[in-house]
Amino acid sequence: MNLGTLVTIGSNPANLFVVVLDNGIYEITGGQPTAGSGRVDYAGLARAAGIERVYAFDAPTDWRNAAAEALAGSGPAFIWLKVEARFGQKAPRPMADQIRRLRQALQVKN
Amino acid sequence: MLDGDSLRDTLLDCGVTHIVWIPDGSTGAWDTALSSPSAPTLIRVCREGEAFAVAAGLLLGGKKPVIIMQCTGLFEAGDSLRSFIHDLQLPIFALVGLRNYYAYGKGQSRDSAPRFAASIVRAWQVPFVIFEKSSAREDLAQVYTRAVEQKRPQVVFLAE
Repeated sequence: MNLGTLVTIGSNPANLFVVVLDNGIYEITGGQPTAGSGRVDYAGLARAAGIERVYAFDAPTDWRNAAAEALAGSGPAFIWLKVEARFGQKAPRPMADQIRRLRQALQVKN
Repeated sequence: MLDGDSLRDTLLDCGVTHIVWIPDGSTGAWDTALSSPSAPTLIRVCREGEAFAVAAGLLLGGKKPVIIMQCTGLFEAGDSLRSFIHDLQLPIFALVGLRNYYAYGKGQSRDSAPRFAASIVRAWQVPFVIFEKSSAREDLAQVYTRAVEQKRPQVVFLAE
């Protein structure tokens, strides 16, 4: 996602929940830090872009306690999860499969 | 000749639900028409690559979006286009302002945008047509309908 997308979301309020899993690195290329890693305030950027419901968590317990509230109601909402970098994770499900499952969930037939 | 009102009405007649838009010097004049209550839902985005992502999401959700942008933005959006049109096989329809097409044709502009536009879209293997001043709403309706029927992407260059 590019940062301009936050402005688009803020300008076109939709029932959309953006969850940023921020591990601060480019994991698949060897762990180089992302631009502004550890310094960029993504929650502040989201608020400045006009998104009113913004959450930030850096502790699993806090996230567990507040997740129900953060994911309740209608969007747009922005959730920033600061997570640990871990290597050796499996690649995500193939995109074609993800799309099929998404369309199935949305009950899109065409 | 297409103007904002005729474009909006044609897209409505074609069943288009959303217009994903970044204006240029020519299509910017369509603002009033495209943002009127009767128009398809207008989504103003920040970057052209993002326009493809938004249109892709709408298509996946069963909507019928059309993108409007300028050719220079289309150049930058290349990887987004490649991913959504070719990897995900989404039939995205885009109206693309062809900057300085007429001036370049007359040798009155050194702008390289019109020089590369058709070649680049051809390289991306996306069907395209060029609408000049004589093109009318019926032409747009025909091109759009054919693309939808054949479930394929389409670029319509709007000569500027």
